[in-house]
Amino acid sequence: MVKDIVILKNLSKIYDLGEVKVHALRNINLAIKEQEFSAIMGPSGSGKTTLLNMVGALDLPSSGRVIVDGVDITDFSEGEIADTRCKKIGFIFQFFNLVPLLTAIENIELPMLFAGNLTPQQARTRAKELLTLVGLGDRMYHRPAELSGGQQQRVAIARAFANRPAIVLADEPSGNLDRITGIEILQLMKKLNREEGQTFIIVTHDPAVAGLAERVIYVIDGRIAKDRPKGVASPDNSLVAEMKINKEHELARLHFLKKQIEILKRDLLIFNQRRNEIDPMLFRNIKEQYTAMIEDLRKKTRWLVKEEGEKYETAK
Amino acid sequence: MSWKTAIQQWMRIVRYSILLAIRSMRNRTFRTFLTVLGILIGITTFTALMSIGVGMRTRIYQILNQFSGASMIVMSKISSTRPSIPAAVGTYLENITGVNYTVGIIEDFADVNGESVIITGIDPKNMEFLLGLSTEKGMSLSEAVKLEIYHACVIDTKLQKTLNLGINDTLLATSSTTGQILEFHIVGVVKSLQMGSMSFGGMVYTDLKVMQEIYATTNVLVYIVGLNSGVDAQNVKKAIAAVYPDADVITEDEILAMMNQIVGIINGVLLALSAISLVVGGLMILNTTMMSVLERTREIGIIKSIGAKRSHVLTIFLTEVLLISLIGGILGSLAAVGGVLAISSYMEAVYGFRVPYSFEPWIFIVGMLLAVGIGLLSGFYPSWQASSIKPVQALRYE
Repeated sequence: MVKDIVILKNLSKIYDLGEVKVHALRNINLAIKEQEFSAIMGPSGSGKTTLLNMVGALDLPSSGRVIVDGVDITDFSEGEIADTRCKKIGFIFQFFNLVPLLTAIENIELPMLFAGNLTPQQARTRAKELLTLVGLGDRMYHRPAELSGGQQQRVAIARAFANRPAIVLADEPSGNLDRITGIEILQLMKKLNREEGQTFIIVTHDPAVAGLAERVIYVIDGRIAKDRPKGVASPDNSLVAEMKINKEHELARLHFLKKQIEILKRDLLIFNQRRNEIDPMLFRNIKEQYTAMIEDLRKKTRWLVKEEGEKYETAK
Repeated sequence: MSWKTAIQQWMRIVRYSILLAIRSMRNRTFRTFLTVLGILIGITTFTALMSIGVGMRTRIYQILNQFSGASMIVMSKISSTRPSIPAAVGTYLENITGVNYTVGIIEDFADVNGESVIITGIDPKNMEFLLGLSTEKGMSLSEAVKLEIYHACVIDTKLQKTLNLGINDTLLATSSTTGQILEFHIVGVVKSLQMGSMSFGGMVYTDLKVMQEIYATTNVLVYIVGLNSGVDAQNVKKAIAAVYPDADVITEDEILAMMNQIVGIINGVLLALSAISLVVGGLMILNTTMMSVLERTREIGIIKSIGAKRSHVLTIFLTEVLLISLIGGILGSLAAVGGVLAISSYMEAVYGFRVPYSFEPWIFIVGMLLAVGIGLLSGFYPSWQASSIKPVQALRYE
């Protein structure tokens, strides 16, 4: 039986601004299941980010209870809350929020440093694995200023996974990216949800992004207005369709590249057979060029997304 | 988490904090330089002034030790410029139990061709053992007196070089006390009186009788008395007062106490000056750290959102403060050594006066502790503020 990874009971949050009291959340009751890919949607000022902050222990409720991974964190001390954020929760922000003075790999090591569970060597190994997982194996020692928006968000995703959290919370993860890059990021998150079994809660105002989720929780004026569970049609599946087309394009490209590699390898074989007819130095140069072309094509095939149920094989 | 694991984790946090601190300092090079400069100036001032203060104290002890075994100075309350102590007092002094020697001298300030000099009338027999002066050129005062050379005098090397005087030259000095023009015959040159690192120039030595003749008196100005070891100076002082009530007697201990008081006052002033510099340095660190916290508010929110505790944030900011303080302290100590050496050389070359100094290890240790202490004290409040920032507010900060 799939357990509830996050439970909110009668949750309310009131901001006291002197004469004015702002009811950001009103009596929220919500349960998120393990491995769920949920979206919290709502207009600006609806309280969706506040709700996310409650779940992520970035802020404390005015009343009600917050239970994360079976532990009631509502009355935790500051240190215990920090510990919970460190070990049980991963964050992905709209503006990436990487530490500018640290490299990509150091940013990913930071949560592990605060957790204190791993030695520096183990942390470095894990950070490298995560960077490779998100497709940035060749950007480990770059600082955020040297990375594109999409790359920074990939690093942020890897960082969110550093301590194998119970849940990953994403606040408008594609909000600061162009459409193509945004799709790539969301594809990555879906992939991690699928393959790693990671629970995701995404806050968005974009119906297209919400359309990717199995479950959409609508928040209006601090209350849950609607909770669309898995299976019910999304009001906007354009992004899903777009991602599907994108995937088909990628597959076609993958096949094309594989074919190109086969052609080159065949040519190289024929060339090898006629080596006695060619000047040795010229032969060596041409062979090096063929080998370089084949290697280049192999690199391009390596990062393509695999189709559900289809085994991916890099061109041999 | 066991204590061993906790220490290991803390060490890793410190290593990361040092890495962050170095990168942060390099990111804001000019501001870091100004902050380090604040501490540097404070520590330079403290180290230099303390070294000079200790050097002065050491030199004063050396000066006092110059008068080999001199235990007291007997002056007259009647006049401090004209010889007023009768010769009979000297005879009485010599016969007091416990007195080793009694040397009467007459001193007068005078002007020789625009140079200020001190003319000392002293029995030539006492000159060498009391003042430790050796003849460099010509004849000694003793020899001149034996040869009955009229108004013979010896001058020191500094005066000789300054006024380009030679053996057998006539020295005309205008007395500051009486206004008289005194005439002397130069018979020799002695080494300038060295008092530790200070060399006094402009000394003229003549026979006591010559000065008594000039003043038309048999009195002396001052008696320098040496006591045997173990003799109570206060008893001798009482014995003198019983015979010569107008005596103003200063013992060696009283001189030492006076000197210590003077040095103490000087050191106090020097400490106050360096304290002001250190306070300014501390304020610069406070300002820089507050600015750094403000600029990095969002960063603080980021690291707190990924699990940093208050102690982690505190460590990160205090590490940067500590690094700045250490750099300022080390550079300040080096600058102090360089500065004191430079000033001392300059003063000696231009004014013939070498500033006394003593680079004691404790001065540098205290200086470094001060640098670190002031840094941590000044940087603690803004660092604590940083650690108290709520992540959700910090993340909204632009």
